Amino acid sequence: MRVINTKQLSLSLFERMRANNIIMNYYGALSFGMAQHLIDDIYDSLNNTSLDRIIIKKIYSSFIEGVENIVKYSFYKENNRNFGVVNVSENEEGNYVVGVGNMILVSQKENLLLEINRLKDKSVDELKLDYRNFLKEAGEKEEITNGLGFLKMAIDCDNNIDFNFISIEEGVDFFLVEITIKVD
Amino acid sequence: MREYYLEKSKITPEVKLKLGSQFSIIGDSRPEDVSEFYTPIIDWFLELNRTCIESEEKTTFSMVFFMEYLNSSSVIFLSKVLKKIAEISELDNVLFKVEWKHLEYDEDMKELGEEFNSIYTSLEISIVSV
Repeated sequence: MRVINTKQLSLSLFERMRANNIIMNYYGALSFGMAQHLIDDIYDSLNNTSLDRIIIKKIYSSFIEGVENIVKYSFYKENNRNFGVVNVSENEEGNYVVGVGNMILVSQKENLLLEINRLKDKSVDELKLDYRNFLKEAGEKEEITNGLGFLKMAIDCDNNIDFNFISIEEGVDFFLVEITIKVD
Repeated sequence: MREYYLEKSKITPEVKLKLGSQFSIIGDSRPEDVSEFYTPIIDWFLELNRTCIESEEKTTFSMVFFMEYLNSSSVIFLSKVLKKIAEISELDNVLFKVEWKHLEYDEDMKELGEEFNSIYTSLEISIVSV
């Protein structure tokens, strides 16, 4: 799909992001280096707000986990590069939303669903117990276990975490994670 | 035993492991390859364990952790490090004191220290707000 009018596209994106209180938005190849730039940028942006430091840390932490997931675990690449979208915005209620999305192979969906289903309908106390058990197992096992990232994100946002799989093309889904952190 | 020292960077903590001094891991932790970063640290404590078993001499060690941000992979490896420290502390001839420092506002790090304290019960982990 080719963009014919880049001026219109840029203006449209700018207007839509401004209207939706997007603090930061990135679409493109995500290398480890690029991720560090985005992480530094969101850190500076958040520290220029009047947000409580605990809230800043939760947003920052969720952002890092989300971005690192794309960098490390994207199994679908274009021209050998991991592509993704990451953004941070303030919603109508004044809460902060971290959105992270990338393309995945449908064959990866089952493993992701296993991790996601572990979080479903659980209270923060239940999630914290799972976290403790996970840490204990991690200390004892030789192999590295996945899943702590989503668990931590869920704890930080009181389990206001939304997972979406959207079909893009045959065998490929867009996997979008949205974390809403309440600002009390 | 050889000293193991790593300078602090934006994404990795300072690591000071030297016999006769307080051990410490201080800073943020989100390295590109977490296993590559933490495996030598785990190996150092494995060697310390062997050294303590062979010497039978009564020894006291102390260690400080003072982290501000840890990604989830780092938390996993830190758990493995603490597991090795806990194994050393279980030796009859060893006393191992651990201090888990956190910034006063940082409930997240405080809670992580408390989690580790509840998991590794053979260790004396003091949670200290600074």
